[in-house]
Order: sequence, then C-alpha cells, then structure tokens
Amino acid sequence: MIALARTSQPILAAVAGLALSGCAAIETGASSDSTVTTASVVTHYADIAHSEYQDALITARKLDQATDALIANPSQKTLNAARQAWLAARVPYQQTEVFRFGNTVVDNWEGQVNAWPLDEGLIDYVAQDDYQHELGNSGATANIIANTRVNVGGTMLDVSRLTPALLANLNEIGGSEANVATGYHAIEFLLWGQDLNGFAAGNGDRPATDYQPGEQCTHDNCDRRAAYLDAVTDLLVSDLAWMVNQWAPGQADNYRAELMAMPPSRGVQKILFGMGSLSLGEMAGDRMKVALEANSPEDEQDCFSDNTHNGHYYDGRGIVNIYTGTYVRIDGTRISGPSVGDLLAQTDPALADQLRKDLRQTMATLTRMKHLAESGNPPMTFDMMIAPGNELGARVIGDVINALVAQTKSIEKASAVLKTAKATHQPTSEVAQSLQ
Amino acid sequence: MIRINRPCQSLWLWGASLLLVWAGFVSAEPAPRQQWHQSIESGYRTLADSAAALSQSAERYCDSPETTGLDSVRDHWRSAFLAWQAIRFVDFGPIERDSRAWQIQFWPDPRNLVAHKALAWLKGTNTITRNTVAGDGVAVQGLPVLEYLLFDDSLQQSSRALPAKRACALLTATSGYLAGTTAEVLSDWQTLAPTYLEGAHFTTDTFNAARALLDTLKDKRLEAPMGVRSGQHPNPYLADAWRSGQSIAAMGSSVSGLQQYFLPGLSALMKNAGETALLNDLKQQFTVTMAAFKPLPDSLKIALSNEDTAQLLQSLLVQVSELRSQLAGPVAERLGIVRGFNSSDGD
Repeated sequence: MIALARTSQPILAAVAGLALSGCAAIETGASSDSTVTTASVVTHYADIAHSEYQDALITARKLDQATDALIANPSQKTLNAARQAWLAARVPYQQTEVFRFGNTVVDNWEGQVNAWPLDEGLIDYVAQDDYQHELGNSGATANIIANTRVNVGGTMLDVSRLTPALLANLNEIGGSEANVATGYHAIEFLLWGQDLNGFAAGNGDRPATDYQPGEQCTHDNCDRRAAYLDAVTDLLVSDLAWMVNQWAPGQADNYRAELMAMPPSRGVQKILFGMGSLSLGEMAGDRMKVALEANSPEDEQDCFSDNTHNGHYYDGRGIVNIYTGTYVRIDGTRISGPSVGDLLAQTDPALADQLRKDLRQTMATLTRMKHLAESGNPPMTFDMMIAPGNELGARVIGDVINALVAQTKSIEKASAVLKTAKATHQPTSEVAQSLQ
Repeated sequence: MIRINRPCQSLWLWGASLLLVWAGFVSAEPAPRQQWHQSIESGYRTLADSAAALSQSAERYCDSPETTGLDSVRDHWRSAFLAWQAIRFVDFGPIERDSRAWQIQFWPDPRNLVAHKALAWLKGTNTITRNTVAGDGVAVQGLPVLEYLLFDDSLQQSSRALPAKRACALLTATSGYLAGTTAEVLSDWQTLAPTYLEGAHFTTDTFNAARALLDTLKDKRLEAPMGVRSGQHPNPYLADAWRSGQSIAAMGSSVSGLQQYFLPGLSALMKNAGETALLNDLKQQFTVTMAAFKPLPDSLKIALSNEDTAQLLQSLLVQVSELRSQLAGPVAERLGIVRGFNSSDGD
C-alpha cells in the first residue's frame, strides 16, 4: 500500500524549500487509476503513524546518545549538541500529535511523553522570586534532584535512586497534571533551564557546569541531575519504542490490529476527529489563544527552549500529512498512499478543494510564524510575539488561529459528508482531473 | 418523530409543516430561536446592568471609602459574577469577538496569572486607566481581577490593599472596562437578531453551547477540583471563584441560567418535534439538579473540608452528570443535533 519514492533531497532542504515558497504542497498521494476505499485509507493512516513514530524513536535515540555524551563530558559543546538533538527529535514527534486525538492508546500514553505545562520546581532548582506554579500543587517545589526523599501531598517518597521506572511513577504525582517528571518537556528543562527573559529575547540559559562532577558543579547535586537526565532520556526511548510497536503491521495483539478490526468508516471518523481536535481546541485554543489573549509567557509550550513556533509548525504539518496521505521521513524517503483527502474528493470534490485550500492557508500562516521566529530581523520568537502591544506578533498568531478555525469548520463538514456517504464513488481519475 | 419513508413523502412533509405553522399561530408561542434570542437578551441585560452597578459602586467607594465600605462593592461584585455565570453558556455570536468571554472572566487560571498581573500593576508606576489595563491582556480585564482586589487574603493584609490609591485606580478602571464590555455584548446581541433568527445553524450552536457548559461544569468545575479521578486529590484552587468562596454558587447560577435562558427555547423546539415526554424528563432533571445545590455552602473549599458536605457534592455530581447525559444523549439524538469541535476541547 505504501508507495515509496526515494528522494535525494535531505529533510532540511525540503523544509527550507517550504519556508521559502511560503506555502506547503497539499497534494494527495493516491495513484490516479484506482478508487480509494475507506479500508485502504485507514490502513495507510496506520502506515504513516508507524513511520512517524519510527522517526520519533530514531531521533530520540540520537538525543539519548547526545545527553549521554553531555553527562560523560560536560561542556558547552556537548550541551549544544544535546540541545540540537532535542530540537531535531521534536520534528517527527510533533507530526505524530494528530494521532493523539481519536486514538486513546496514544492519548493515555502521551502524558508520560509530552505533558505540558509543567511545574518544573518538582524536578530541579527554580528562580525564587518569580516562579509561577499551579495553585494547590504540593509537588511544585519538591525538587527531586536536590532531595533523596520528597513529600508530595503528605506522602513521603524515596527518590534516592533515579531510574526510568521511578520517574514514570513520579509523573503526575499527587494527581496533579502539572507534576511532569518525564518526557520531552522535562528533558527540555534539564537542557535549557528556566527562561527568565519574560517577553524579551532569549531562552533558558542553563550552564553546562550544572552537569560537572566535583567542585566545579554549579547549582549543586550535579551527579543527581546527570542521573535524572540519563533516566528520563532512557524512558523516552523505551516509551517511543512501545508506541512504534503499537502501529507495526503483522501483529495480532497491538493497537493497529484493533484499529483494523473496526469498521473502516469508524477509522475515517477517528482520522477527522484527530485533525479537528488538534486544530481547534489544542492548537488554536490551548496553545495559542490563551498565551496571546492573556499575554502570558507561562502559557508558551516550549518555554525553556523557545522552540514553540516549530511545535506549532510541525503539528500543522502532521495534520496535512494524514489528510494527503504523504509523509517525508527524516532520511528524505517520501511515503504516499490513499488518504482521507482522496476519499473526500470522491464524495464531495468542492469540499475537498476547500479543505485543501484551508490547509494550505494554515501552513502559510505557520510558515510566516516560523520564519519570523528563526530569521526575522531581529528574530521574534513566540514569547516575544505575545508581548503586550506587539501588533505584528499578535497579527501573526491571530492569522494562524483564524486559519485553524477555518480549517476545523471544513473538517467538521467533511466528517458529516463522509459519515453519510455510501459506497458510490466516482473513479479517482475523474477526481484527480477535477482538482487540477 | 414521524417516520417518513413512502412515495407521498413530499405531501407528508408539506402537510406536516403546514400543521406546525398552524400550531404556532394557535398557541402564539414564539419559534424556538425567537424565544432563545429574547431569553439570551434578557440574560445579557441583567449582566450589563449589574456590571454598571458594580462600576458605580466602585467609584462611590473609592471617592469615600470610610463612609461607603467595601461590603457594598463586594455585594455588587457577587451580583455581577452570578449574572455572568447564568449567561456564560452562550459561546458564539458577539461574546466570541475579541475574546470577550475571557475579558469578562479569564478562567481556568491554574497558575494564578490574574494575581501575578494585578500585583505587577499595584507595584508598578504606569498610569492605570481603562485603556492601559485593556492593553495588558484578558487576565486584568474582568471579574477575576476585581475578585482579587476585593477578596484576596494575602493582598488584604498588605499596604497595597483597597482603598490604596493604585488599588482603587485598578478597581475603577477594570470595573468600568467590564461595564463597557458587557454593554457592548448586549447591544451587539440585539443587532444580531435578524441573522440569528434566519440562521438555522444557530439552533445547533445554541444547543451545543448548553451542552458544552454542562461538559465544562462536570469535568472542569466539579470533577477536577473534587479530585475524583484515580490518584487525584481535591484541589479547590482548580475551581473558579475560590477567593470569594463562590465556586458552588457560581455553578448553581450556571445551571439555573440554563433553566432560565436556554430551556424555554429548547421547550419550543422539543414541543415542535413532538417530544413532550422527553421534555418533561429533562425539566424534572433540571429541578432535581437545582435541588442538589440547595444544601451545599457557596464555597467549594468549605464543602470539600467536611465529610457530610463532600458527600453532598458527590450527589450533586451525579445529578449534573445525569442532566448532561440527558441533553447530550436522547435530547440531542431526537432533535438530530450533531456535535461539533469545541474550542475548549484542548487540555
């Protein structure tokens, strides 16, 4: 089912191309000589999930190696390399976020991998005077790295040995979702530290000496901080390996088998539900509108590294991937196959065209955000865009929100159309022609 | 519902619609959306009036704090806050413009951004006016920041508390801004009338607004602070209005607001669809749910601290869940109302 097309272009060049052109290609991946069925669409959806999680795992292993190198030999160079590895790992992972909604296997697992926002004082030292944490969260200042025993909500816990299993148990301790002990954002905090620049330029500035054994150790407990970083990156790798396995073909007892056993029309509804939920409630609402309307840097997603623009960009890209049935892997391999976009084009070509335009518009606005954050003159990161009185920043974010709202409306319509559609499709070749 | 599946379908439909028109004339009952528009308008009017009264009382207090006293401002705040709770289910139309719902009440606010921003204004030197406050985001524009000024324990013990000059400036600026916002919402709602009456999708929007309110009420305003999910602990700070001890009163006002401003229009819709029995069940469930509020204190923190009232909270949760299930289940199903994506779905 997967059509593989090896391209010589590395992923970075492909991304740069997108940024330059200002809009992403929104082309569906089905061949033009066959009719797309709901079953083939759901199968290919699972194929994309499998490839994307594989890429997330590959890049997480590289991150694990880079943090091991930092721990073995702490220096600005090894710290920078670890930070770069974290940024690279976010590229495929963010594209998988669209699978979270609609697939409970992902949603139930995600809290240990990508939970946010976090009360980082649970993990390590924080600034004393300006640390905003969840009200009533007794774990918000527990500082696991500085203590071998911590008290959360009246329960004394032994945290002397920092293992992946212990950290997994500590995640959301005391029942608070803000007690994030594991996952990408915990690692981000351990690599960058708190961003104390508010709306001004600059991200977290943790020194490499926070991992220096002996007397040169800064902020104390360097050995425990290193042990924490080692354990939390190992856990991320094993968690992602588990999820890759859930989407692997040819297994009788994984999630993919469960999904394939469902009526395909239910699978299609899951696909559209994932696209709509990520677009509206999660991206436009939780991750952008709150931060913008309340001018609140605490509501910025990648607040330690200031990589928030890429989080949004690749979330958007992930939605496009499953709509079009195409995914460019981190090694440049292009995967394409039957998609929900093809299915919609067979049923309601005008709506398919509209949704494709909506997705293109969203990617254009996200590309603008990414461009401004990375190569603006001077660069304007997301936490600067949300500053009171920053009209340009507010407009850039507002455009993304509006585009996401518009695309959600079309997704909603698509969901209704495909729910009632019968199996009377026109041949794809006609559809392909109508989209030229 | 009439099941229509025969050759003379169009005749049937034509006859049925004639019958409905005729029934409408005879009973002189307003059409569902007409009823909803009137009800919601009256809810917005109550809100705008109470916000104006709050603003005036804040001015009076800050003119002569010794003679007026803070309790009068606090009472006006409570009235405005509960008036908002009653109509806050409406999440479409003019309330959507410029995030006005957040301007009126920024929530949830787990990290206490409201206090953080307010304190920055109290400590700062920038002139406090309606405009400067408006430029600093939704967290300092509405009822929560006023609640902070009027009720926050730690603030009350500091020299920055009311009637300190900057606290008074923030109180009058924010309450004036709130009065302006709520007056605009009312007038924009009146302007929307022809569009609302003509747009069939507003029936779905209105229904889904009520459904979304009950979702939020159950999941975020009750279950989250009660800590009902496994491994969770009670945390009253996750509810709104914990400073003023009005979390439960606010939820009660939201349910009674649905009864007052949503149910009449829904009744008309359900009667038109011939769903009288189901309507009676729903009305009964509203009554039972409101009764479950009665024995509870206004404050969720107090209710959670006592075993007996904590038990009563559980009973309330059962009734709220049942109300939500009825509306989202059989009622939505019989009326053929499809659920869409909701902007508060993110977590």
